[in-house]
Amino acid sequence: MSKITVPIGPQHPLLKEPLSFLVSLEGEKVIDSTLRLGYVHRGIEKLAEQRTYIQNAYLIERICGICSHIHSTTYCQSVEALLKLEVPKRGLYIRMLLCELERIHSHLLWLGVLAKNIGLNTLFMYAWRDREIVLNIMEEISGGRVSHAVNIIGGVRVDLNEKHLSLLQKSLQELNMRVDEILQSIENDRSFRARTRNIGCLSLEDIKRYCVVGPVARASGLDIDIRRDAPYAAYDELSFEVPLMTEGDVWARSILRILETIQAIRLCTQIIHNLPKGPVSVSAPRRVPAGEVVSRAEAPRGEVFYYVRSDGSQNPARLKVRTPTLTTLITLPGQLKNMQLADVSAVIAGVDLCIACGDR
Amino acid sequence: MSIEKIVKKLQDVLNIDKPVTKLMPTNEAEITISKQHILLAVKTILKSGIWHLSAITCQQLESDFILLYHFWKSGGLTLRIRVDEKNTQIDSICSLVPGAEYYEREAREMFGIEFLGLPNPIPLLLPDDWQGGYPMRKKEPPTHDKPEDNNHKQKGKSS
Amino acid sequence: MYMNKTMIPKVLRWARQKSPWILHFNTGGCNGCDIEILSLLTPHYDVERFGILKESSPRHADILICTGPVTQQVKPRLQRIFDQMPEPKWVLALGSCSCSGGIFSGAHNILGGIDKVLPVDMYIAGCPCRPEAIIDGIIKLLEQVQ
Repeated sequence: MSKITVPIGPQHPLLKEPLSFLVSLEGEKVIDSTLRLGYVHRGIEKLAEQRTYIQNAYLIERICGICSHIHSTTYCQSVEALLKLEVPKRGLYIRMLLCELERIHSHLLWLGVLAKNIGLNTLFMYAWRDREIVLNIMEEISGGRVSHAVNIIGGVRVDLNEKHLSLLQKSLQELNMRVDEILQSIENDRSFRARTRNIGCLSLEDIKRYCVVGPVARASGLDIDIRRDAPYAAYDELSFEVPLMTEGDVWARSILRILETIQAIRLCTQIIHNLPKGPVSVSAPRRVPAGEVVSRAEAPRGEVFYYVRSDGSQNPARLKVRTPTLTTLITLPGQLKNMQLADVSAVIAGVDLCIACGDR
Repeated sequence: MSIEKIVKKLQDVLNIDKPVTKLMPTNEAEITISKQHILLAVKTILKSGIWHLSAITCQQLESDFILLYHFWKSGGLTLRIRVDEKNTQIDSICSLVPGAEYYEREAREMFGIEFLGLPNPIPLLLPDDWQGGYPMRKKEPPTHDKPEDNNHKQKGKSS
Repeated sequence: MYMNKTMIPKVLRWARQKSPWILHFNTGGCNGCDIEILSLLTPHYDVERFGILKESSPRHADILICTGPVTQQVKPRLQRIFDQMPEPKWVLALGSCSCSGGIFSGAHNILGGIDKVLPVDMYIAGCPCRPEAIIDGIIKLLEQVQ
């Protein structure tokens, strides 16, 4: 049989962002695939060297629209470490609250996109309808649905009052009920299992060789979570579980992400019950003393890594960002080998790509 | 093995007597090695039980380049290597850590470092017809030349 | 009953206005505006009541909605997608980045807004745009069709 190349090109209904995939087929079976990134490369690391630290807080949020708050949290953490600032506890708790809300919204978004890709449109509608609850909360707290601009160097710029806390409590209860419903309906659903079971498997050895992070790694049995292993913000004061599965296929990744969403709702409830009193920020000087710092955080897709070097001026000398999507992209050609063409959509959706993060 | 023990082992294997510096925050250690020892150092690190490479950072300090290999296992370990501007060649670690491929390709196209043995030495993020040199180097201008004007008329209305 | 020649254009214009099919293409944006476009299809905003359907192929679409600044790599693909769309077609630049390059203008890989490559009919500002603003922009564009 002769080989055909199918381009899953920059514009494709499966992809929300431009990414070029050339899939070589023999009949219906995928033999090989190549990836081409760079359509969304905006040169953020170079731009960051030309802006001040305060202006960079606005730029860093726009690396990715889905995980914007975690990028700005990691950035502000690194600059605060260079300045040796101690952020007040209330500020750290509000940061964590938005991190967890972002995790919930990202996982529900991903669930809808996966459902749309494999043909379950109703699940897409339900997941995104429930996501609106989270976006409402984020809009009440910060003023923006997608981009919040809550972090400043030295803390956060918003505070929670009684109205916010009662809205949060009511909405989290409703969200908990709805996410439980979603988990019950898809965990044992035959058509969902048929589309996702034994598709795109990654073994624990592959995960270690390619240094994969995030839910994709946890679904294959690797127990890593930066919130537990190297707690940042105030995660060492909260209790949560890190779900772990061993099957390594798209089904395991789906169930794992829904379990993580339930844990995130649990974390949000703990945060609003234990919110300490006090100020939410401290003032920060404009010039950052010379030094180097490395900062990690747990984004919805895995470990986000920042390296900042300062030379004593108002602009950073070097800002390096490594996002979790780069680690999963490198495994895609291996996952697609020997798959049927019809399963390519499930595999691509299953790894939760965020090309804007990967290309920067 | 804890990070301190691995650092001690690296110092013994590579005959380094320079003290280890700490990158902030407190659970990060950094060790400076020369570029001939990169493969031996990575082999020692892998044998000691660390497999996770977080990133490879490249930066330009005055005229030389500094490569930082950030490893992690319940504590961070960074290898610091100085690469001369006149000889920007260094061995690739992709044979030991396949996950380093994308980081090395990015350092190659942004700074011009030659990684000997890199599996796919093609651009990762920059376009195929890129003419602007190495964008992240200090001497390169940050913007490119203005593109030719298209002859489309702009008939837009703001909303 | 027969359709004379003057009625056919009127019917076509009415059909285009009542049911515009959109194609969404991200030319290098951060995703913020893209997820707000997808939110339009969900029950909360439900843009299908205006007849708007999100299409997958350029050959079926009337309106091209672009988000994000134009990067060098995406420029020929954007041009090709626009050429593949059948006439009449309109282009909507969504978000500050596609209007003028936004926060990324001046970067080494960015050419600027969408209007550096295509003729834009409607600019919708915002970083990111609210879904209500997107619906407002599309309705105003449709009023132009008249």
